[in-house]
Amino acid sequence: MRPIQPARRAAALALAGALLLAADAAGAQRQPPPAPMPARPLQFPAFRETSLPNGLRLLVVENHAHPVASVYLLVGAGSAAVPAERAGLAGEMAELLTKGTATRTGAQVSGAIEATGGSIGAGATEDYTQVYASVLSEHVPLAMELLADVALHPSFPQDEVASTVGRSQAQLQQWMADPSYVANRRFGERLYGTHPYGRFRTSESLAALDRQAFVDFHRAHFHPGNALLVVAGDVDAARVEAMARERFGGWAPREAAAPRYAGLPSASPTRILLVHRPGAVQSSVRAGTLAIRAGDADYPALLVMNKILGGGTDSRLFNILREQRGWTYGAYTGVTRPRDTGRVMAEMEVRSEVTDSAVAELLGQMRRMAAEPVSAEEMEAARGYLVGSFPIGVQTAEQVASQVAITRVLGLPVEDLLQRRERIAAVSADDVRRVAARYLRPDSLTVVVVGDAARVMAGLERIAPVELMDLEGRPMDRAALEVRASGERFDMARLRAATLEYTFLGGGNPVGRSTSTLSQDGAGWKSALALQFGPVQQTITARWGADWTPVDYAETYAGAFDGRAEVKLENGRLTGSAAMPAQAGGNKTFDAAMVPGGAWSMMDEVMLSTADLAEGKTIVIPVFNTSTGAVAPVTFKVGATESVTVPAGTFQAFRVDATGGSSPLTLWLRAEGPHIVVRQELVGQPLVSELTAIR
Amino acid sequence: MNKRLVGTGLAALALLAAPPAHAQRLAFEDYRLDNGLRVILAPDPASPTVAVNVWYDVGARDERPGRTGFAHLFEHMMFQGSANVGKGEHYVLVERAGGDLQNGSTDWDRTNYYQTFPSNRLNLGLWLEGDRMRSLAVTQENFTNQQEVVQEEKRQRTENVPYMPALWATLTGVYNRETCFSYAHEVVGSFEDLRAAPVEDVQQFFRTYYAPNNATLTLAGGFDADEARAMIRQYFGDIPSAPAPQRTTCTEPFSHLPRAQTVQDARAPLPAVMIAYGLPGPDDADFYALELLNAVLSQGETSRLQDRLVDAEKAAVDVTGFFLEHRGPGTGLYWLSAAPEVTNERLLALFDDEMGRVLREGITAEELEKAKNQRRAQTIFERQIPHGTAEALQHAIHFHGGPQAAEAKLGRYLAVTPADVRRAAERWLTPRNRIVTNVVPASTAGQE
Repeated sequence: MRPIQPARRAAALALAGALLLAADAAGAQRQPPPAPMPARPLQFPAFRETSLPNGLRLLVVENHAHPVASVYLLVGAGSAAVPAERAGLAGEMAELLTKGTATRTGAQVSGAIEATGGSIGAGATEDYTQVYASVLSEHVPLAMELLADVALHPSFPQDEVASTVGRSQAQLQQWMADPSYVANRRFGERLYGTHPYGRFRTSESLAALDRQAFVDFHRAHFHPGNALLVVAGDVDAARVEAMARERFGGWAPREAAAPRYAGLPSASPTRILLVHRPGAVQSSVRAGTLAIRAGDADYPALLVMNKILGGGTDSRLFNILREQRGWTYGAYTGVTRPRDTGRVMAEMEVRSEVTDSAVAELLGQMRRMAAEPVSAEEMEAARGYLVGSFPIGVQTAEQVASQVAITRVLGLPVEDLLQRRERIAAVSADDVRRVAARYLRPDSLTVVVVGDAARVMAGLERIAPVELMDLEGRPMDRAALEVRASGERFDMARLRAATLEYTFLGGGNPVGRSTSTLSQDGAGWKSALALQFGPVQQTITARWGADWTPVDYAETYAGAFDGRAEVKLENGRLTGSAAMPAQAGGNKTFDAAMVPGGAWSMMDEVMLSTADLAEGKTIVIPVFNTSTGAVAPVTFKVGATESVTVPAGTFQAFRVDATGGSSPLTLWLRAEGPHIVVRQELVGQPLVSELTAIR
Repeated sequence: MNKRLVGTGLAALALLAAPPAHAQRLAFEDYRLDNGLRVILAPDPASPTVAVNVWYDVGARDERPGRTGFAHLFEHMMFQGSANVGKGEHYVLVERAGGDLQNGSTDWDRTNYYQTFPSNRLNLGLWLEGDRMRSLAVTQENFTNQQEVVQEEKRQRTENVPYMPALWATLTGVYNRETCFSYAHEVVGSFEDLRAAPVEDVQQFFRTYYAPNNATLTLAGGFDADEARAMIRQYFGDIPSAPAPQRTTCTEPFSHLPRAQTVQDARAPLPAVMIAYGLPGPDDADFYALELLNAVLSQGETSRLQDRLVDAEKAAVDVTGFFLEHRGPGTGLYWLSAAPEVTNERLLALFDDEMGRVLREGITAEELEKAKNQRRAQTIFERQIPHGTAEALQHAIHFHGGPQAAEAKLGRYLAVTPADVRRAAERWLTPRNRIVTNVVPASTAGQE
């Protein structure tokens, strides 16, 4: 680890936009920066494109400036070539290509390339799968040999298939917990409908990926006529051709099915898909439309439009939404250009309370792009960056090989790349307005918001019709947003004073412990928790009266940081305050309405212990959460009973999934009443707590 | 250039082993302005871009107890505006000129600033760097403002990131605080120190360390050397020099070893062990052998620790090795992340077993060859872009005695023998000469 890289862009950027706008006042006595010197012509290296007799296209870009070379093999089949029920197949297959061949183990493949100081890798996009190697030019023969081996003769070893797919399953779970991922995914699904670009992996589609699926996909698509080999760097075209014949000449040609792109939804009036994420403090917003195909002449104008609207920190959305309004940490737009129809999309993460304002502003800025001509200064800045920085993106052999390969696999002539700068330089303000009017259609947008619907829905409805969905993708009724208890009866007479002790395990190792004590408190009860977690000590005291009416609640933290929160219920309102370190929410005051049947955190467990549990039952308890300052429903879904062994003994216990709290949990509640917690597990994290003693 | 069989078009010949490639000979000019600014010009007429790269000879190693964090804070201050450049404008001016790869960074031994331009905007890069070297706005307002930013940065990048507090505690804990404070404290420094500092101290820091005689300007890529010399004189020539700064010292850096410590990490999902050895600086012949050994142990899918701890024993989910090069004594750190159900004791025992094998048997000629190949390839790969060339020249000047080392250094790696590796390992990689950090996870209590 060499340098620590602090300031990065953020420090400089944070201030960039707004200050530029205001810079002229102070700039009176300033000297301007020097004017540009005469531009140098960019000499793109010479190309040579040929085909082998079996149909494999070969492109060689000779550049002898440095003794390095990159080899890219692209096959024209990616995720779009996979049916929905096997989504994920293309990406997983790419990863498996280098994990073993008919004559080499995965370790032999990586060992061979590492011994030369080179690298090998593979990946898939919607339209193609690529395998690539970068080496010193003396090792081009080895790179060609390895690339041919992994691309033509992968063995998809059973154990590698199992571990790769298994890792992806776990990763998908983590991704689905990330609101940005959910927003991108729902946006893609909504925008593309049944079109192949709208297919995303699911737990079921990954589970369907056995070794045979990879073998079949490889056999169906990996043909020389469907592939392109690009070699760039310090090589000799004739020698490369000879090597290509040697390594790829025996690759038997076959008919490959051409990709079928169908199923795009027709344009419809703007609607907002709102994905309810209870308790979210910010919303992930995505908004955009379908745009251009690979060969579309509008591409350069769209790039300039994108740069001005949201292509980075020197753009309108960043300046307005972040610098001027302070609603978000960043707001950006992006344009894609795959083989079939691409898209324009804006993205931002905004605070819940300004979600509607930010969406309205975003739509307003899209409208403005189409309505008003952009200023000469903005045109200059955008073209200046796009034209000027172009050569910086094609400096290395690897960059050149990759850019050329992608251009060709999209079916575009190499001129698309060679003349990119000239075409961008020729874009006018009129062109920008024209493409904005054509592609940014505020009246026909797909908008996705992932956030706390209870807080943002009403505001969004003032902008466009809203459709509500839960995190799992099921339609939701808006009535479900009302925080309501499920009507389960909890019999307080079943409570007994007791002390429960737990141990916490992180990855199987002890990392903390807790003691919770339930005792009578006047006509009601009190639950007190003392918890030690590494350096953190936490206490919680919750009190309630007869009929489970909450009285007051306090939590404290000590050790790694100091903090406290206190809340009480009076006349139906929850009031109180918290003093926490900034990263844990900072200082705040609470003032919220209590919901009938509502409870303190910790009380829910005690209430459950008195319920009549049965498999299939769903119990909802509204719980006040000090991090959000709001009451949100926590849903307990009771599953079957299992035998669970913990330090305190072996118990028959109901498996209960709890969602809606600060993170999803799985609980095991003793089948015999009172249904105390025997074990609990944080979903997706290697953290469990287990009962050690009952006193 | 690569001399070999060319144009035969015969597959058989194409497969014959070619003689090894060498990086194109690096031609450069090395001179100083009257005010002491050192200039390195490394033109490559074929390149359409030019890297403008300034290293200041200042870093956390120049800080003294009670006055830490200045070097890093300054990296932020350098984007806060100067006589002719508004606050935060630097970045935007570079971007609008088509510039990219721009940033600044601080470590213990230097602070760097860099950007790559299309060749015809070299003048803008020189003008921008000259303006901030001459007239940085070191105001109370900017100072206070950047203290906040740095504090937030530390929170986001260190304190709230799993394992980072332990990593820092290990990287700094391997040095003796009493005799080698330079490397025994974190680059980001202490907020208490920064808050206690009067702005006059900060201004003095700028005058001392950001003077032209404490800086090296390197240009690499497509530019005309005559034009560049004239512009450099124009934009930097009249910046006044300053008395050379007093340097700190680092003696007996490892006299307090061995050490063991436990760090509880509220964000770490799994236990980990971090082991850092005290190592020599780049002026010691062992340096080259130790860096290659580090590669054999920890770099790539087929390194020894990966093979044994991750693949064979499945005791670690990941093994990372750092060879941290300082201008003074360096360190080699191994970060072993435990697999579920594996204790730190077992991890350390397996690691020690592997290290014991190195001490007993050394490494094979084949392993050494592979490490050398990787080193050679890396040297050549990084020269492909002007920014890489500029950084290599700067590094050679500051760490290895002069710009010519950018080329000569590779020869020192290639000359290492298996016997050199074994001897260096015996001397440095012993249990007596290391700190071991036991990282214990402890997820946030608030989640339960």
